[in-house]
Amino acid sequence: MKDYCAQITAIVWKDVLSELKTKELFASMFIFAVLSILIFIFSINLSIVNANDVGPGVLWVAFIFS
Amino acid sequence: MSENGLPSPNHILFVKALRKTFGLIQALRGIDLELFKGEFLTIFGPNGAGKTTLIKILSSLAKPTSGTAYVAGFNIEDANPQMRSQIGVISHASYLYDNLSALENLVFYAKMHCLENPEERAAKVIDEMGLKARMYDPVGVFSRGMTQRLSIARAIINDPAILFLDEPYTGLDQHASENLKERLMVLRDAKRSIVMITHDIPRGLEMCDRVAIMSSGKKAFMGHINDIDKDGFEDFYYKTIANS
Repeated sequence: MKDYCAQITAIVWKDVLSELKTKELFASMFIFAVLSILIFIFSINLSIVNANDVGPGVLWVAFIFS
Repeated sequence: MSENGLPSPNHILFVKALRKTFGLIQALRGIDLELFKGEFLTIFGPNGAGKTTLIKILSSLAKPTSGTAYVAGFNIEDANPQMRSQIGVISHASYLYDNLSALENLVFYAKMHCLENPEERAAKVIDEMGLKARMYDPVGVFSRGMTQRLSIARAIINDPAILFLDEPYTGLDQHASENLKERLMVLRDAKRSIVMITHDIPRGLEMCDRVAIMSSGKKAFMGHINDIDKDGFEDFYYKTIANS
């Protein structure tokens, strides 16, 4: 189990290090985040629905499309 | 072959009746092969002979259709982490990350093998491969020859019992080939078991203890280097392929 966790940590370390150098994913993540926020702002009228009711759905849609 | 059909403690490689089919295509048609610890085997053969398929199966990257094989005492059907830790593979792909430096790449692999002092071990094998001056440079800017040497460093970082080299000289110029040969000579002289596939007959012959020729998925020839006429081997190679 200790070895398994060390290997997972090594993979995460490698991916983060690679991303910090290239910043390839940061740009696309930023655009996706902005687009997601804009789409939900225009599609959900929070004066009609409760934010607590639609929040989980918004999160799941963002997770699935990310 | 051993009498009971099982490898002896001196065997590093023991292959019996190994077959592999892809649909109707028979890539391997009953390969028998044995190699002892510390020996260097060179496998020659034309494209499509099944050499790479054999290496993939022996390094547990593919499963055979039938037959048995033992690598470093492990049955390849088990394909467990203990078995894989005994195998180093250098193939057409380098399995290195272009964005990371040579040192970062090898530290990653050292950590994946759960080695102690990964930074120290990575720096040591980089030095052994003559890349110390470039260890902080990203792999993406390396020449083909340097990438190939770093691939060898990657493959030996956990000190495996056997190394599989699939056409290591492909794409290298004369100088890089010579450099790579020197590195492989060091590994051979350290009595590391090595199986190399190559089309380069002179280079293949000058390093090996045993020679095999594969053709159409079969082992067409296998012999000890001392029993081979090196000068006439090229003619022998083409005749063997033609007759198989």
